[in-house]
Amino acid sequence: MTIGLDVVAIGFAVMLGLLSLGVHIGTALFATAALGAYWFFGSTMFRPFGTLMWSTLNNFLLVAIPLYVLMGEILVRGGVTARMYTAIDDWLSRLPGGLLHTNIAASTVFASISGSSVATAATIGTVAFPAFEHKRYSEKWVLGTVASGATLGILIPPSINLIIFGAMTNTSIGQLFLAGVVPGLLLATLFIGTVVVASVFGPIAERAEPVPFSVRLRRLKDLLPPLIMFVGVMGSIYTGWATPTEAAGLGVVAATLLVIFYRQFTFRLLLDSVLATVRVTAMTLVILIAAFYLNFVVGVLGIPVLITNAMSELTLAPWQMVVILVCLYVALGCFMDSLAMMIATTPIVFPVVIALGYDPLWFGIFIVIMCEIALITPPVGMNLFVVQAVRGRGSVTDVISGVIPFIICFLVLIAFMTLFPDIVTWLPKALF
Amino acid sequence: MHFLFNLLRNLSTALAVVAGFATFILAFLIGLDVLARKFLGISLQGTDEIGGYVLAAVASLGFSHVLFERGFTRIDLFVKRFNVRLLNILNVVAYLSLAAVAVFFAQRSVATYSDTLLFNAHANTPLQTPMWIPQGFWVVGMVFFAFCAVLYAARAVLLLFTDQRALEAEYGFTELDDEIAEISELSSSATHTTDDGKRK
Repeated sequence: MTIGLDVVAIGFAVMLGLLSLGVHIGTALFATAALGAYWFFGSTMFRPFGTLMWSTLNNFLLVAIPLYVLMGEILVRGGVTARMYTAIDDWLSRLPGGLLHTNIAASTVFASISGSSVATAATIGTVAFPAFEHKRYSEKWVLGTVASGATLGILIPPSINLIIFGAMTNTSIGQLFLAGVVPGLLLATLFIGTVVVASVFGPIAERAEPVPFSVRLRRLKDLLPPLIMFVGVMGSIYTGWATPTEAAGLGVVAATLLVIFYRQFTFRLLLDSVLATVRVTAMTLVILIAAFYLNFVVGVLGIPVLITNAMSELTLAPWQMVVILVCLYVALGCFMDSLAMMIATTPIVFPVVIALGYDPLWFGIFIVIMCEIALITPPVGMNLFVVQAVRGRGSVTDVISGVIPFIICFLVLIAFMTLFPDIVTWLPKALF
Repeated sequence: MHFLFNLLRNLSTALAVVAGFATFILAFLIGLDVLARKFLGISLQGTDEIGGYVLAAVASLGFSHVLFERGFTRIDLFVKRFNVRLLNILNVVAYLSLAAVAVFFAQRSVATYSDTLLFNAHANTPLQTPMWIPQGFWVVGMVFFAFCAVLYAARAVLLLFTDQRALEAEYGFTELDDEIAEISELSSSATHTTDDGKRK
């Protein structure tokens, strides 16, 4: 039986159909893969599944997932991250746009020690909203900065998304982490620039009263822990002391010591943290098992080659290819969970874009930025709902209108990355 | 029936706690290994290997906990405006198909495990770990998950005919609210302790 693009289209339709009926994402991915395997090869293709499942689970690269999640959980629950907000606030709230910059900068710092966007949005939101009380500001912008700023969590290392991308495509996770730094900072700068520009056209937030310099200095110490964590985790990777997974282990140790130092460490905290870690890990890995099987089936069926050939016949310019990918991912991201979107599409899209001459690091960062957009695009952008839930009044529509200016920032960043791919690849190439 | 499900739920939480603490201990083992390697020039052999086993255990022992917490991700976008009856049919379909997948996973892992036992397989590493030990946690986790998933789905089918409201409440789409409320509470209490009177 020959396999044509119609098979790919049917497979894709089956997957989307199952997903939209509310079947679990892992089930939908697995069912699609199993159906393809059975249709073309019969039940022999089920035989390697056990070994495949074991090798997916018994993978030291992926051990980084529970470890980074645990590190973030301990830091959030120990209140380490909430203290940072005030310290950053002191220095940035004099800029036009005031506290709004604090939201973005605090998200950026938080992102550097956390791999999760939900935790970032919930923490920053909780600390930020009371800070705006008794001040004149546009609420839309407050919501927008928190929801968008929190997406930086998956771009700035450490990032769960980048670990999974690296494991799925055999791309160096250390290099991927480095590749995320410059685009992440650039994106934060674009966010801040957007707030400044918007402030010129109309006051959107009152500037704060200056805080005495001595108080500011004193509170600066709250910024020290995240700084130490970031330098420790990333530094141990780039000096060759530790692999990304080992660095995550060190991160958990450091986070624990820090929380003990702040006298916040309790058995309850540890119990809640490890349980949350198991939940996130298990729900991610069930999707990953299905995706690795999909990867296997799609590879055996030769689907990437098929699509690559079809794409190269179209002879698209690089920017046209990027436009197609952006449209595809923005559309998928509107209704799919961002991580699941990445995991489900990587087996097919990655081999195609690599065959067309794109750098694996570049594509890794690209797809994570697409995940960030998915986090804030209605109707199912996770961050929109987290921010709305923390706010606890009004409608989610306010949050949606708040993020619109920032979605433009993402598209500007993608345009920059397409014109100057070195933005992504320069740092990892320089340091490795 | 209530008793049975409470038992399974508690058992799955207990397994998840064990797996979670294993992760915590693993982190310290890895930390020790890195520091010892750097400063003492010695290496605890095999933390990477053990790490892989811990991950396999965490995931497989965690699956049933995630099942009862309804943590496996579903998309409600297209169906949330459906009426309760239709929604419940989809809930049942989702949990039946999840159970089918869980049974398949369990069956394949048991098959792999019996090969391991048959050939008395050892890891190709300095530790020479007999594979029946780490894969044992995996198989137990997968079989327990399949067992829970089948019962959980069977209960959904039963509820479809007896108690639609309970079905919607216990099998419907989850909200993020609990987790967020928890993080919010923790974060705000943490800032209040460091506040030196700037915010009132």
